Amino acid sequence: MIIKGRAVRQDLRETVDVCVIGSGAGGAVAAKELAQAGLSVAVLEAGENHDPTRFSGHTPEMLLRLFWDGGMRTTRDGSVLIAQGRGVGGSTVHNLCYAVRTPDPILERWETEFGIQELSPSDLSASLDRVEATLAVEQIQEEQVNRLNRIIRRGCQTMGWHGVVQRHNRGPCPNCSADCLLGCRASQPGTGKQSMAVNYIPQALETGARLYTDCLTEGIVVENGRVIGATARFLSGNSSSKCNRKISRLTVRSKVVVLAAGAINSPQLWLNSRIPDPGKQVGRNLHLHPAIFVGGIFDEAVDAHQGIPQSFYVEHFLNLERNPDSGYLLMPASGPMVLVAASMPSFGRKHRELMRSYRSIAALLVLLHDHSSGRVTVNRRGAPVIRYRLNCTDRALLIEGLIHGAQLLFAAGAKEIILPYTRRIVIRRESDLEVVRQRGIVENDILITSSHPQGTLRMGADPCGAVVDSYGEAHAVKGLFVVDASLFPTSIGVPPMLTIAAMADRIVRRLTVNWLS
Amino acid sequence: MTLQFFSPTEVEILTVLTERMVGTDVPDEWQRSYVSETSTPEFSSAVATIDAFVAGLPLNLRSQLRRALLLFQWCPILFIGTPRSFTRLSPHDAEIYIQSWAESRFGLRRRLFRSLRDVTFLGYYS
Repeated sequence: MIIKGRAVRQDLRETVDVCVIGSGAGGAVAAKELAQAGLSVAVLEAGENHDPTRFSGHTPEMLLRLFWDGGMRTTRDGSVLIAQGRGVGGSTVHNLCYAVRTPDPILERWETEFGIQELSPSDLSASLDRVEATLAVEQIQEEQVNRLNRIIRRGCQTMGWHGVVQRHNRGPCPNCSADCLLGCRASQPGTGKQSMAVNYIPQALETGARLYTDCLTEGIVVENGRVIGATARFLSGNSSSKCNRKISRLTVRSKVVVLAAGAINSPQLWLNSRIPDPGKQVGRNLHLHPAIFVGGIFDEAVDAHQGIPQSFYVEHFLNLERNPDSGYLLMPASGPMVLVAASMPSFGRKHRELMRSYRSIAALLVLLHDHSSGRVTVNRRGAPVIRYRLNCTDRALLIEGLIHGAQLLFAAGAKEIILPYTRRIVIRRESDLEVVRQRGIVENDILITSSHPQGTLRMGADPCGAVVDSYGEAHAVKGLFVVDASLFPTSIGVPPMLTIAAMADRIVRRLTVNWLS
Repeated sequence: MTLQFFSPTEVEILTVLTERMVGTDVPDEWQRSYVSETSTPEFSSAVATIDAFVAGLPLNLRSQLRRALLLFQWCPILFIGTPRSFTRLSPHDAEIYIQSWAESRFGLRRRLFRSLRDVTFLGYYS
């Protein structure tokens, strides 16, 4: 059953076994598994329940509908733009469907360094299998690799680097394009993007879960060291209009609260709720997987926006067995014209000239497995404040990634390289790339984006160094579980959707077993 | 144009800003400085899109954008020494002025440049 918050005109109360906050990659899995185990479940989602057939593809409208802060959420100094999904399905509605398993060295490191029990690759494998089956994960076929990805692969092969065509959670999609970033109109079971909104959430609803949409959780209630529920308010309409209507609220009483609001909003909620934090770790250890853009102008038409936007990536520079702490991926980058425009340097006529080459541009993202860590706090109004600064090692790696990306594009046939600086620098030869080292990474001179915030309620055996234990339960509060990317002890280095979902599966299955016993 | 957030004065600033950020194919010597003379339907439409988008943002972001816009309008005298508002600058001076924000040694100015640039692109290229 779905209760639409915008239609609610009175205060509501709900008593359930489990209250799940958030319906993205973690929350949706938790809701479905708990409901199927016979527990009563209420899911609180701050955003709307999307009808994919009504996705307009109009960038401003979809940014407002699918992302927190209309896609304009940034770190405090404005240097990193953070894209985080809002609405049923969370970021799985707008992500580009890379379905990558958690790298073994990362799991081994979490087990040994953070004392996490039963999290070896073989331990998590059953959860990953279940998630992959539900999300219909499959190998991307050769004929599905679009021209952009073929060009990147060509450059990768010429350079002698290692890269592979990945797997994805996407069914047949007749009009697949870069507009996928603004939601997939074909998304339904078996067709188009297999987001949480088209499989896990409907399955949770079928088994009795209640989903409250447009319902912003304001607090988690704790009494005598044990969670007893959550409070939320229903959102009333366009945030710009003055609304005289009384705000309706929801009070949920539950024995367990599962927190899955994402690595920015989960610590925000924790801090606003004044939940005990004896180790002073809440909000710390933020990793962002910062990404920067590098493009190439080709003589041939690339038409990067057509077809599956991301199917291949270069993993040559992410050797986690040798160095589990750092490295980067080179991923094809395409998107709606607005995002391409924002990635280009300069303004005015010079920018307009570059945009004329739109159809001939192939671009990459350098996605950093970051060692730098930031922090989420809250301001006086309770809004999240995100602090993050790249350390010297990560800056050097981004510069190296930018140069490698440019070399790959030259190897693939680019006649000119587009760098992500504010000023347009014309690069027509590899020898010109020295300018990247000279210019370095200066905040707000280079566009840095993030789609994978993680680590702010980290998991670990030591209550002084971690917020939740090996099974996702808060060290300091009984009955409070975390199942989103907040619980990653370190950056994972690869797209995190499968890992989040599998960790949620692992945590709630154990929770269910304990509950029933 | 029915406005949801910006005032007519702010729309005037935003229209000139969009035109300067996006660029035009009109040669410099043919361009005139004043929005009432240069505004074309494509830029008016872009500004309407920006207005609707900004109206949907949280209050703090809306206020920040409004402040950024007004700061941008009234600071040419500070940064390029020209005693005119941004909307009254010639295209050539406007370019120098915008460049001074883009490449400022102060992170906050570079940040405001990026925000304003990206918002105008959002209006125009969508």
